[in-house]
Amino acid sequence: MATLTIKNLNKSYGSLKVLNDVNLTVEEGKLVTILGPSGSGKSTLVRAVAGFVHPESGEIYLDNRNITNQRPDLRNTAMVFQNYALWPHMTIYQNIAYGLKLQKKSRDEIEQKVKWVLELVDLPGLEERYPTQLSGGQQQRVALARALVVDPEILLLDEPLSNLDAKIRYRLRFEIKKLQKRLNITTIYITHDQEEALSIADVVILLNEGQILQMDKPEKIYSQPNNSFVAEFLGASNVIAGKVFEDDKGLYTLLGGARLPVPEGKKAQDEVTIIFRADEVIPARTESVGNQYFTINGRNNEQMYLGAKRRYEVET
Amino acid sequence: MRCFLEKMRSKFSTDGGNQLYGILLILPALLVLALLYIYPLFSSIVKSFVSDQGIGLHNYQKAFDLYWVDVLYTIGITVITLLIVFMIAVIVAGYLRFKRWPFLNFIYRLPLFIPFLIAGHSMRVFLAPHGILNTLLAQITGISELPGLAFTWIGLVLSFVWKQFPLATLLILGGFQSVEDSYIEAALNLGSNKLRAIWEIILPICRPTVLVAMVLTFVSTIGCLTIPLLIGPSKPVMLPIDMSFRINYFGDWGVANALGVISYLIVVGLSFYYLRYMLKKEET
Amino acid sequence: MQNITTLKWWRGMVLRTIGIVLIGLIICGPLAGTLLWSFAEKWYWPNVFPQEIGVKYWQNALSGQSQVMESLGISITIAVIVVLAATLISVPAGYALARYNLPWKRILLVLFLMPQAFPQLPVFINMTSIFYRYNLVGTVKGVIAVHLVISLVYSIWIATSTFKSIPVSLEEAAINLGANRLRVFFRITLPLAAPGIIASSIFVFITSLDEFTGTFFIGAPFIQTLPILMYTASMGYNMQYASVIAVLLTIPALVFMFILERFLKVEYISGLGV
Repeated sequence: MATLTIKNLNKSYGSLKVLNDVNLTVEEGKLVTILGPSGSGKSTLVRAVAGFVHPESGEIYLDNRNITNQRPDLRNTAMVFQNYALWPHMTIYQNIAYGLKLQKKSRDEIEQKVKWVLELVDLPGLEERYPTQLSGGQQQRVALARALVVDPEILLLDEPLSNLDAKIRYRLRFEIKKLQKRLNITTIYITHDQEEALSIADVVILLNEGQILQMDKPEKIYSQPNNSFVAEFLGASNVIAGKVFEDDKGLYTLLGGARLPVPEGKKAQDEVTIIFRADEVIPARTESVGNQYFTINGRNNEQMYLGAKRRYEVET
Repeated sequence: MRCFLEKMRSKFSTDGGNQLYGILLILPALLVLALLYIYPLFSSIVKSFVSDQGIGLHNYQKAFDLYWVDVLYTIGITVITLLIVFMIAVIVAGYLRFKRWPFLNFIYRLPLFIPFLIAGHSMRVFLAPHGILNTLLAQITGISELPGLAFTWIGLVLSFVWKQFPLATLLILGGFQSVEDSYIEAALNLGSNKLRAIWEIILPICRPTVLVAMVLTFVSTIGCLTIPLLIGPSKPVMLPIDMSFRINYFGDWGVANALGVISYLIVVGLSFYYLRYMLKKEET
Repeated sequence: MQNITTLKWWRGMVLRTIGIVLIGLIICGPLAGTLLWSFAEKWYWPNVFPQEIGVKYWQNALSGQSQVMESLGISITIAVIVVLAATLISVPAGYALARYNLPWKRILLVLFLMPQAFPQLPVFINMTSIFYRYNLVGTVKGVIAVHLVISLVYSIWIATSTFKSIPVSLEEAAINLGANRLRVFFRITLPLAAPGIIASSIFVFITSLDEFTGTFFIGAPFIQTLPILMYTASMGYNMQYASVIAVLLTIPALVFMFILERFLKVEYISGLGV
């Protein structure tokens, strides 16, 4: 188990800057999810750690070992690919044993380890099948098994569940988390699904356009987003521009008659952005229901029925 | 009007509906093939059993007596060529799969577009005792009177390899490129180096393509007349030369056809492995 | 860290340059030799280059009465007719193979591949004997027939590939709007297939132009195509003469190669699904 440290990593493809001065640390035994929209550089980052992408500048360390320019086959990082990359001409046994063979383990040891890891991912007895004979979820678990069995210093998961149905995705993500905790293996987990990221991570990193926007525990990043992009990505659907006013009681901003507090460091006439989630709002017809709520007055223009939810459009 | 259109539609529909139209379209090609190829092919097999001693295996007996050395020689040259072509194709395709080199990508295809006849003639000039290769070597090393490679089995193999490796490389490179990056990266990630990945992962996945390339190389080498004519040794010779000799100097269709059938059998023997593999794939 | 990368870079450059020289020599050497011979008026050992260079042999070859011009005429005429015949036959056949569910389709595909995938010489030999009976040996018609059989492989293969690559939905859309099959074929399918068919025509042209073995048996001794002429010259050690013809024969093939690289994708040829 190792700690991953990335310092000032930069990578461009032609004029497109894919990784922009990325700094992060993943402590040993932790599961860090990297969240971000398509094209944000998540895959590039993880492929740089694996050794398939060569950064222009910056450094990557596993514990104290500088692996920045090391060949991918020497790095002791294990990757699970989005399409699983199970070799179709080999049996499940041969797929999983491949890494162990390269480590020059004895035949008995390999047999034992393969059996152990297949039980670990809850697929006992499938050694002689071929990948094409398995379901998507099973293939994914074999890919995971193949990565885990070589005892890597760090596990890299590149959108491992994206190709699966929603129901299986939901189930498998917790299985992965349980496995990770059980083996206490340092893990980076890439996804574009914010629910997935928040539910299993020890730390969430939000990446956009090659830059880390925020790196925090799930609860913190959800309730205290650093900026509007982070907030919007994590589900805040109301983003309204406002202005700072000042009166004898202090600084404030206005929304539909509600007097809202303003963050530190702002002064009068500054611009601010008011962000809140739909689930933080209670629609009501009567006047204020108490001092713990801000009361925003407005007119309901449209309603949309969405099954479990209803969508209201309000104008202030 | 509508019902007429419907009738037209169903008559010429392509989902297996009316095959008659399709058969009509392909008939001219089938006729040409049948008359100008299948008929002579069968004739060659039939004629191989006919000799002035009646119907039987006399031609084969005579062919073996006269040419068994050449049969072995032909197989030997073809197999050696095949192995070298395979090696070169895998090396070049492997390199181009991982790295970009426009020069190599362009130039390896050149011999593909040079006709066999011209290739033979050029090799004759190049490998002759006082040919260009030896002249160059003489200038560099100072050794004059180097033996010429032309009219030796080495020159023959070199000429075949020069002409055949581009097609094999082209096909195998196509196969290599159709293997997704992630399959290769997964192997590298688990500790394999690039050479191992080519041999253990990429090549097995590309097996059908490799087999096709090898069969094509084998067949065009074993049946080639021009290159052995222009640059091969005078003894032993490749089977096609024996065949044409038998016709042009002896008018002996029987033995010539027997030799032809022998070459068919050699090809079928090799393709059997390929066909069996492909048929197995059909079933799964 | 930077030093290591530059060292690797330099090593790469040196290796590549050596590679370019060696590979260039191996691949272009023989061809360069032929080219040089065509311009050599006097060339003997131990010179690396000819002692005297000139265009004498070229002038002889390209002059009006030369055998070369006559053979060139014969070769081109034959090639053009073969292209027309091959296209007329293979376009419908390719369409049928691409679109229709023909019985024994797999077998048909293998059958059409056979002329190239199976030893040709025994077949040529027997064609000769069959053609004797119909007085086709030594005639242009006979040679055209041989060239046609050989080229059919490529033209049907490329035609099938081409038509397969045109989505059926394009034709169905036209039918849906009221066009009949024939109209659809000539207005929609054929224009889209044009690049592939042109590629196949060029391929057939060059195959016919360069064909030797079949012509050797069927055309002898009256039909002297360019390859036959070249062969005779080369066997007679008529180096310059043979080399001039060799260069003449290579030019169309190389031009085709450039056209292929530039304008068309090798996808047509790599449709090897058999």
